[in-house]
Amino acid sequence: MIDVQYAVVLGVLLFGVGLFGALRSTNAVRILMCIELMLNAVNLNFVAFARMLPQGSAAGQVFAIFVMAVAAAEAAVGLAIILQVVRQRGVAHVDRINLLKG
Amino acid sequence: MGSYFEVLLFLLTGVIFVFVGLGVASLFRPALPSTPKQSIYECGMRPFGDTLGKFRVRYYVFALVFVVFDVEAVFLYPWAVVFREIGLVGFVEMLIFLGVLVIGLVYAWKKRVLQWS
Amino acid sequence: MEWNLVLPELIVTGTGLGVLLLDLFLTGGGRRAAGYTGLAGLAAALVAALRLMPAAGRGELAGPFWQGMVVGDQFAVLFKVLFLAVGLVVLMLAVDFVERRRMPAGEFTALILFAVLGMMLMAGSRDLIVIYLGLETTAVASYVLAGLLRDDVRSGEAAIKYFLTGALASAVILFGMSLVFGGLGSTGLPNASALAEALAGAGPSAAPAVPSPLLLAVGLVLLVAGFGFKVALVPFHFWAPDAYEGAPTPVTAFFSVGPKAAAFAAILRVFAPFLVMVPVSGVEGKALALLPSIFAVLAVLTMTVGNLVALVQRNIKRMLAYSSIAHAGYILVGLAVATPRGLAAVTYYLLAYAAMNLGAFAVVIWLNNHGTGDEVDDYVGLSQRAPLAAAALVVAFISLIGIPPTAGFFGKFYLFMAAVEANMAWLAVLMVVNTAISVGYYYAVVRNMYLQPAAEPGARAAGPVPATPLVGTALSVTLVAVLALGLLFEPLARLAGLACGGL
Repeated sequence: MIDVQYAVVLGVLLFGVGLFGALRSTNAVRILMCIELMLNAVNLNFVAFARMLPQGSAAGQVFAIFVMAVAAAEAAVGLAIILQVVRQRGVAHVDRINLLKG
Repeated sequence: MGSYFEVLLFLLTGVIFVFVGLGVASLFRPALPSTPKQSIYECGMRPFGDTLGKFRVRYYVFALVFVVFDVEAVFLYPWAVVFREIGLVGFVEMLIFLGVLVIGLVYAWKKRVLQWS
Repeated sequence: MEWNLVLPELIVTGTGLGVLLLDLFLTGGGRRAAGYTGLAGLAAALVAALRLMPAAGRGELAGPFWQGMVVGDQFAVLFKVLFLAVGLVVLMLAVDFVERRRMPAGEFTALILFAVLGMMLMAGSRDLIVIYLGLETTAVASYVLAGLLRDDVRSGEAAIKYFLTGALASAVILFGMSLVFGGLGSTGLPNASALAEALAGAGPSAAPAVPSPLLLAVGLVLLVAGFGFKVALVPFHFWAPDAYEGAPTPVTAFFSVGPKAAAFAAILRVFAPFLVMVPVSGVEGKALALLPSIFAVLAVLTMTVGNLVALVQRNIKRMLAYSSIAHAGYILVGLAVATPRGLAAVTYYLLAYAAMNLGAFAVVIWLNNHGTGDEVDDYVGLSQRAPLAAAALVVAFISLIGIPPTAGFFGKFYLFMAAVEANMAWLAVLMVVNTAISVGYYYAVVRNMYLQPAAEPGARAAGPVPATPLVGTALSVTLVAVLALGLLFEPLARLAGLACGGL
């Protein structure tokens, strides 16, 4: 039986890697991939906590399933938006998508 | 950590087995390469073009629709596991869920996402 | 009774799916039917929500339904009414715009309906799972709405920026939720009294009802950051002006009011118990006690930066974006004071803000439908060209500044009093200073409209600008609401207090 701490530490590290990547990347698709990494860290946390709780908790596992399904929908919509911008502009780099000053 | 020693042993045995086996065989077998022998066997299609080539946009839309429907199926699994306990109510609820998905499918169909050409 | 409780949601869902199917079989001139169907659905849902009001007031719907996934307390019903009204007004404003700019009417209507559905879910649950699902339903619909002007490069840019920051914010919120789940031991949020009991029992002797208050505190801080992205608080606001400027104007109006108010409703749901709870001893108690200070810092930053940057904007949508950031800062004051009265002030301010901001956007959309640009300079000489529109915009701005007898004044006054009562007079004073700064940019538009003569008569003036029935109705509704919310301050403030009492 692995202690919950290990899972949570792994979750925090994964989340950190994802967050770092999402903030540093300039390619929209890569940012999306990093965000998916962060969501995986979240799922790991949910499942680990669900197992740790003394009374046991189905809610944690259910939450993880919902996160997966919603992430797929979000990624589909996001890729469609990125696709539209690439068709308009020919680039997927956020530092070159700068028509609006900001 | 003691219990992991067997794993390490197993790993080493596996590696040695492959190298010794192939090494000994190469000493005795004849080497007569021919085109059919060198072709890719049960490893999918022969690749063509380079990976940065352009795909039809339709392919992306098709794939996105597939991903969404594929992942929604994840809800069917826990539902099936507890199906006996939740009974008719659960069955009707799942029918409603699938009904909503079917509306999405009809939408994609009418928008001609499912047609290739 | 249970099913009545979610009747508004069911009606909105059904209408949304129906519109999506209906639109597949409509062509050409029949396209407006999608918008009208959506309006009918929202109106029906609004009636259903209003009918819940008395029962919710008597506390009959407070109980947890469906394993606590849905609650029908006064807070939930009040916010559902607000969201449905916002959806109704936005859709009224949008029908002509959508037709003129050749946006897909069916998809637009359905997406607005789904976004409203998500907003209602956020306010109507005490469970993290449902709050998250509501958040994402709203967010995913909003991303698409921002990019719905398919031939406009700016719209695509707004969509991609909104999507990337929104998805990042969702991930941060989720990580916070996972830690809160670990800390609380369940996805169900406690209300204030239940939380106080649970934390009191967390001593060394009693069984820990809250397994780890420390995880809880860290999770809550992450939630502040995540929700900070969603409502565009100041270190997390950079996406908002771009998204607001590039999105189709009715969608901008919706963003600045709908998802924002819904996120604040979720913030109230999640944080209220921790803000008004009895102090707990120990390190964890101290960590939780930091929350109001965090909100206070964010409030000062958000209103100051929002107002100062708004002063230099030349595009009216961008200016309203910064103005809406500043208003989020005022709202945070109510959370920073961390008293029941502060929370009630937040609720009242959200109602007032929705009415006055939609009023301002209604005028912008009305003028835009007649070819007036979105730059502040395009409004020069408007009082001669379109006296009614100019006057309406002045009323909305008076309320946004906070001059009596409008709703904006009473909202600020309520927040001000809450801050003074909680011995945070410095925050109240900063709010007044910021209000004074904000006069600058609102007045710049008014001066253009009334005091600057039109540069060359006929150059930009496209003749008189008649309002279509839908836009006219929507504008009248918001302006009447701005005045009515002010005149009905007493009963509404009492209602807001009761609604927040159950949090």
